[in-house]
Amino acid sequence: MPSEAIRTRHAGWTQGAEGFLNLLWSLASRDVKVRYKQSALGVLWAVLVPTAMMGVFTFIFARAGETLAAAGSAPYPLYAFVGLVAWTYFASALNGCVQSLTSNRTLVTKVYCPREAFPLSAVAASFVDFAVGCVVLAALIAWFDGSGGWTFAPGWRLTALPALVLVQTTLTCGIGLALAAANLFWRDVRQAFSVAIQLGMFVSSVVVPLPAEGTAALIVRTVNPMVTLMDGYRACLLGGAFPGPGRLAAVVLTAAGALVVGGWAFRRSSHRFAECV
Amino acid sequence: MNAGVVRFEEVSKRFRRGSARRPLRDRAVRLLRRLRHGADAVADDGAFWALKDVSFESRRGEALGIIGPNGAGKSTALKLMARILRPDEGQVHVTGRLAALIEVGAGFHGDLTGRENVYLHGAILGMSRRQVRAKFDDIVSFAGVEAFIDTPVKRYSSGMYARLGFSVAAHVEPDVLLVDEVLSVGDAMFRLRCVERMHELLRGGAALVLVTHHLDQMHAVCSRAVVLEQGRVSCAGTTEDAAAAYQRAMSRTKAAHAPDAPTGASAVCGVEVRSVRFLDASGRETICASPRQPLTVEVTLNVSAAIPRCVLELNMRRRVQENLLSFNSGRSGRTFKLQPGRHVVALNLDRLSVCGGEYFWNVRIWDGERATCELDTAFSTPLLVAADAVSTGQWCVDHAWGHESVPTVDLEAGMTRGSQIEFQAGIAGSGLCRAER
Repeated sequence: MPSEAIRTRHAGWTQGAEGFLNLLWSLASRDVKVRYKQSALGVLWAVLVPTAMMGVFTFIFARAGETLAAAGSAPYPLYAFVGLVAWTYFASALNGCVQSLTSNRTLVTKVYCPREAFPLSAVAASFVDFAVGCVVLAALIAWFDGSGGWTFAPGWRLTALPALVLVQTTLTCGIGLALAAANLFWRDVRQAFSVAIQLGMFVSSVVVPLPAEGTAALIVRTVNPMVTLMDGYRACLLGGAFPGPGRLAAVVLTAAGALVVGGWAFRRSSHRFAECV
Repeated sequence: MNAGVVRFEEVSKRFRRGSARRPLRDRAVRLLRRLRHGADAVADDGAFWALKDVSFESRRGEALGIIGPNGAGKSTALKLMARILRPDEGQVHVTGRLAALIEVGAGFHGDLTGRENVYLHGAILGMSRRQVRAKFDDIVSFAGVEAFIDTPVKRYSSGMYARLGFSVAAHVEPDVLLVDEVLSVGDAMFRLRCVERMHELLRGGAALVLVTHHLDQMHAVCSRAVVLEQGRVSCAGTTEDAAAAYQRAMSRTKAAHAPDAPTGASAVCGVEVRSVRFLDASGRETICASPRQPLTVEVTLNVSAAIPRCVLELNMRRRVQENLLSFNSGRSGRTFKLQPGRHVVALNLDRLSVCGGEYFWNVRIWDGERATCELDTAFSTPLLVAADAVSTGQWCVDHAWGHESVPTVDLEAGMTRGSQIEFQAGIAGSGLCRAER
């Protein structure tokens, strides 16, 4: 096939960054609206789901006598809720990404717009739930402040919080782009993903901390960027040791790398989307 | 507005039959074979060319029609223009802002209201919220869905849905508008407004590409047309040339399918309609008639039980249950005595006198003695009528124009008498209803 002859010169979608952001916003708000349409509780679900999960894990681990060991100084429900809000954002965003192209089949096959908008808008839609979760988290922190010998005193560390969220979002976008494209060619991705994300929860110190010592824990801590992010969030909000600069640099590089590789893979395969979806 | 240009340079697009992807094991086997024997050993047997070496161009302010039978590659061409697909060979150039209407309302979500969908679809087509807001009222009134704009579109009728979809895309102010067979939805009034809107965009310098099966739609909008047949351009030129080429293509297709089973019809009263054929002036079978040439309709009957006084009725329709022309042999005083065996009954017309388009013929058979309709063919035989350069509308009537300048004394008198413009018309030979011979 004479590949040098293949060319598509186009100025079809010439709306620049502003148009792309508008598209992203429109698709994300569609997803959010549709998710809560015809549901009696509506956006309350964004509050209820992590709160209920927190309740469940508090119940389980309080009985197991691990509460203190897990939480350090902070109350366990807070420890679990921070982890759950951040993890839910990660997991639901990726889940949306995986299905973003197949669920927008008519748009992919019948209309042209920048295809990156589909997975990225799935991330944006999950971010809305994440924001709601953060409001609940703030209320919980206020509630637990001063009780059980724990006080909320983040100081300068709170400023690191937006940076951590940005790093997590970047990481999610990178992985999400790659998964979205991969799922189009191999539908196995969706099945494998749902297993992986379940397992991932237990190696990312979402509700249970990783053991402080041991080779396995060390390996997980090194290769799983979510562990560093979780430790970071907790250091910001609940106190405790901040991850060292080496680990922070590693997670930033991982996130940036994921975005570059994921974006590249997505862009490279995007011309075949309409044929495979 | 910028110049909108669409240009295809020897564009080819290949698809694979069956599954788009091979199973992993199959791929492994092919890879091994390729490594051992080189690339040539692995013939891509399942692949076919949906388009092959297609070149054409649509410039600003010009509407290009793409016609062709089903599966000729029309939609593939449109998707290549819209950047949805990428060519395997050749080059596709599109400049300017593009709006593609490949499926109306493709970006709509059923659970969202009309209003929300207008903003969403606008964003998908590349409009900012401000632009959509500025055009919102135009979009809604063009679609005629004002009363339902806050209703979820899943409750819309299909016509409303399609109208809203077209309306949004038509208000993007595209430099290039691609339209695929969407005007078949909506009522006549809406189709007319669509055509008007397309002309408006053309006057504004947009390039337009219209894919259609309806030749009158193409004539209404396009100045040039391309005929695609099996992925290749078989004709490019004026819409008249293209329409003729398309109709020839259809005749060929029909001829290829001719030996099929009898055209249907039960033998209710011992008569079966074997075929309905059309013959042109020289007696050759055709499915494309000219409005001003003689035409013979030939009905072949299989008779199993004798009918002493058989009456035949032939109806030409544009759509179901609406006869444009009706010929009843009984009214012309003709009955046919049919003995068991095969019979051919012919209806000779001096001229058809209808304008270009697609028509359908059906046959009814009456037993003249019992005066009951015994057989009404459920099927209809299509007849294409070539477009006539002179006439548009329903009928193709011979006519001439006259003009005479009359010096007017004062305005009043001039108003009452008017300048005389003669219009002579007459259905030539008045032959429409006397065709029975």
